[in-house]
Amino acid sequence: MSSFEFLEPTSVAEGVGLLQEHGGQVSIIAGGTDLLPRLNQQIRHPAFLLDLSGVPGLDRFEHVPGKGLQIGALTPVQVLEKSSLLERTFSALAEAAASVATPQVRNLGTIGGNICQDVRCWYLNQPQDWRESLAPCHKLGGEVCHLSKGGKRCTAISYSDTIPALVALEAEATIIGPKGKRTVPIADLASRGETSGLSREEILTEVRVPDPAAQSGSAYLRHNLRKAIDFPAVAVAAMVELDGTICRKARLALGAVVPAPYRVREAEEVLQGAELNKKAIAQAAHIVGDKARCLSDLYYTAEYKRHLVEVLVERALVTAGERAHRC
Amino acid sequence: MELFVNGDNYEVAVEPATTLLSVLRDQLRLTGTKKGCGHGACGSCTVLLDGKPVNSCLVLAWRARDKTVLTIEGLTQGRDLHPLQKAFLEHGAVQCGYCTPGTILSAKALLDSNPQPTEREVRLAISGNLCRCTGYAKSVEAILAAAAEGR
Repeated sequence: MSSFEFLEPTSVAEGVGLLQEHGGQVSIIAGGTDLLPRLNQQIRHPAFLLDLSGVPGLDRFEHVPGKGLQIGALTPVQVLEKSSLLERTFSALAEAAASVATPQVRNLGTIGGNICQDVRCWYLNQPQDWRESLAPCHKLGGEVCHLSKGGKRCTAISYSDTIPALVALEAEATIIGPKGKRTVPIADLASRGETSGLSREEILTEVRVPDPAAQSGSAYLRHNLRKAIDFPAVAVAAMVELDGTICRKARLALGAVVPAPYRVREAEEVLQGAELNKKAIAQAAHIVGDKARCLSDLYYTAEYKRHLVEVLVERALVTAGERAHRC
Repeated sequence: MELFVNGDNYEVAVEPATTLLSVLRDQLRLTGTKKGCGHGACGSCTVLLDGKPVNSCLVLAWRARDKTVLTIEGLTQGRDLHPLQKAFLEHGAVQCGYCTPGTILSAKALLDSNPQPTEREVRLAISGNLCRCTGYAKSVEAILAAAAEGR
């Protein structure tokens, strides 16, 4: 990888100032598990690495009863994986965290980094000399997208495990930049071929997950080729809020299918206000299998991904429903 | 910068882009830790950082300066092998040996926090250490045997 200098702010404000000062030449480093491979592949050549580990409070992990979770962006994924509170009450997030890569990566990688991780595609995630055999893509300053042949924008896919779970749990990100603090639902963090809709001068500092309603349950399921290590081939997160047997609220999110966080609202609408039974679940799953936007990648075609998510949506809704009933 | 490895303090010179793996192997000549994939997918570079298994190929050396590093070399006490090392040898869990240091360190971290793991917990603990030789069966057996021995 090409050389760089460390910037080591001791406050978020100082960090933002450094981002402003050095323009587009800075990459933020948290755990480094997404950044270092990018540097090794020569996809990025930052002159500076902004190391946030010296900023106190960014790895704070707290639960405020009645309000919810406050997870600092630098919280290692492993902390979320091992939290019995998350397992009981925010199951989708615990399951998603446990699915990330490997134990070694979970010890280094952070929730902020998992959300902000770069999108991936078969062209981009190759060493430089391999990529040079084809024209550079949008992310490399070129004018083509090799994933969606002829595409005018990058359509590389978002493979984060935690994003779908956070979307299903209605989590929000706190982002700090030159204009101050803003809060964005994770579901609305758009990824236009760039990491998570943050501007170059912003830092994601915290994730807030509201306390789920009394009778609710969530689940995260993924399909991948091996039992560990791999990014998901497809992923589904579901959350249901029940009132007796009626589903008051449903949230369904997909991962590893499109470049951005993705809530399947048409399926949610079918569930909401109706009894959560086998028929309703099958109907919702069918809608997802029929209408979900999916992009083909190295693992599976779009068509097969739609088939996979239909199966996973059904299973995730059944599990989420059972967990809600057990409340 | 100072690096604290296997109980010793070392003074090393690093560039910002130098990885911990590179310092351990190239400067400190602790070649038990291996380079496999270079991007955190194989686990052969696993070391314990403050007791936790990490991929040393993903750790920039400068960021390990305040931390405690344990490599496979640090497990042996003089001429005595660690129980995990003995178990791996006795149970035929070492074939080419490339994944062995990383796998043993992942196992050590497991046993340090969970001295009597189930088989499933063992498999999860070493799920980040790829092995092309053994099919994992012997490694799992060795780790469970070492755990039983420690009882």
